[in-house]
Amino acid sequence: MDTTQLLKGVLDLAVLAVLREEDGYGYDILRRLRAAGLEEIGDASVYGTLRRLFAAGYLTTYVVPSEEGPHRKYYALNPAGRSQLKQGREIWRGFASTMDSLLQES
Amino acid sequence: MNEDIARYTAAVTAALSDLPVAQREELLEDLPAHLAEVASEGGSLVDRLGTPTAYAAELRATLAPVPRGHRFTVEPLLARWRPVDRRLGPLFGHERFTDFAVLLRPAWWILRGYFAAFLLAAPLGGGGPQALIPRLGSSLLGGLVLTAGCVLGSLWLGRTTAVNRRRGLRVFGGIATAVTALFGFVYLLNADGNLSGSRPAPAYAEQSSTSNVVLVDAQGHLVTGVRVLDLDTGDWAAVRVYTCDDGGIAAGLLSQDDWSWRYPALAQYCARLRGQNGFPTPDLSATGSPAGSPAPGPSVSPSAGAGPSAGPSASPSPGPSATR
Repeated sequence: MDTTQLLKGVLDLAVLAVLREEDGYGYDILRRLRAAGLEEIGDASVYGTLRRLFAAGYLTTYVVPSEEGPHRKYYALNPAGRSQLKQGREIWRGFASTMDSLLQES
Repeated sequence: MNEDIARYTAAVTAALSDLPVAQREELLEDLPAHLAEVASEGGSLVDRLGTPTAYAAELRATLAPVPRGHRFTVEPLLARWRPVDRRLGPLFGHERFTDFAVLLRPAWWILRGYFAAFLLAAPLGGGGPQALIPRLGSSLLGGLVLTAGCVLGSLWLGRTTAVNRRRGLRVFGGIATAVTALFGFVYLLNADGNLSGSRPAPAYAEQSSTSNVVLVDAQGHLVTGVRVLDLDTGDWAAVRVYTCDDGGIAAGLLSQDDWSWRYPALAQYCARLRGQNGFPTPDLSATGSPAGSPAPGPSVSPSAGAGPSAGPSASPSPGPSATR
């Protein structure tokens, strides 16, 4: 079992979490996730997740012109996204502590 | 570099060709712009992102699982609508027409509540077919309260279903909307038919029924067995009969102005009768019935379905004292 399998279930939550403090564009979000330790994550996963979260109404977008290079599409959490993040965090904490106690070596 | 992006996008699209068109379009809509961002970081796309096939496989994994059992979807229709949506949008000052339509939703919620009030009041005889405010029984105040309640309820339902995605509530909202829309449409058609004069409403008030009425000819002889033929259809016509009482026209039935305006020929006839010195007294011996009892013979009686055109054509013959 590798982390990619585990990531699938929590990718939404991870993306929402890195957008909590600061809006970001696709590649920047990928960089933040990798910097946070999710190194196996791929660009397509982040792009696809952003599209899906946007379609679900959790994110808003705006375009920022860039001096060197193409325009960048920034994603930001909206209130629905924030409440989704809050809910996801609680579910994750309960799940993680259950798994911790299951896996504890005595 | 743009060629690189186009080639990469095409390859990813091809690898996802089995997806429903709408889903694929939505997923890949932003891909060229995104790849341009990635490309601006330097290096070729394949170096940074791996092969298009691998990229497509990773993308596919991020798709929400498709719920089973939903064979029929509106996705193909939506896919066709989207370009039209975008083209219409600027005409209304928005990116998409849908954005504009969403702004109009509260207005529709109010209209839905308004018609729902008619729908609820209908079993209680809520106002005529062209009432603008429903009646609760015959109470206008009750109707106003009902309308206000329905409008508020509809606004609440609209707000709630817009935010809350609970299935039961949405289904209920959908059914309520469909029924109300159908009812409202029929109601409007009906009211429009009435107001545009295809069926003019009687201009006089219902009067308590008049008894002791007979038909007599100009000499005062009782006329029996009268029937009125509609010359247009060849059928027996339903008839309304108006009176020219001594001195007054159609007392209690129509105001003089209204009446004579509507049926000028009848007005002239009555005026002529008035010019003669009084009316002849009916000779009731013709039927042998006691004076004062309703005449059995004349089939001239108020008839709800009577067209107004039947009135004037019927009236001149009976003479002085017919009534409706």
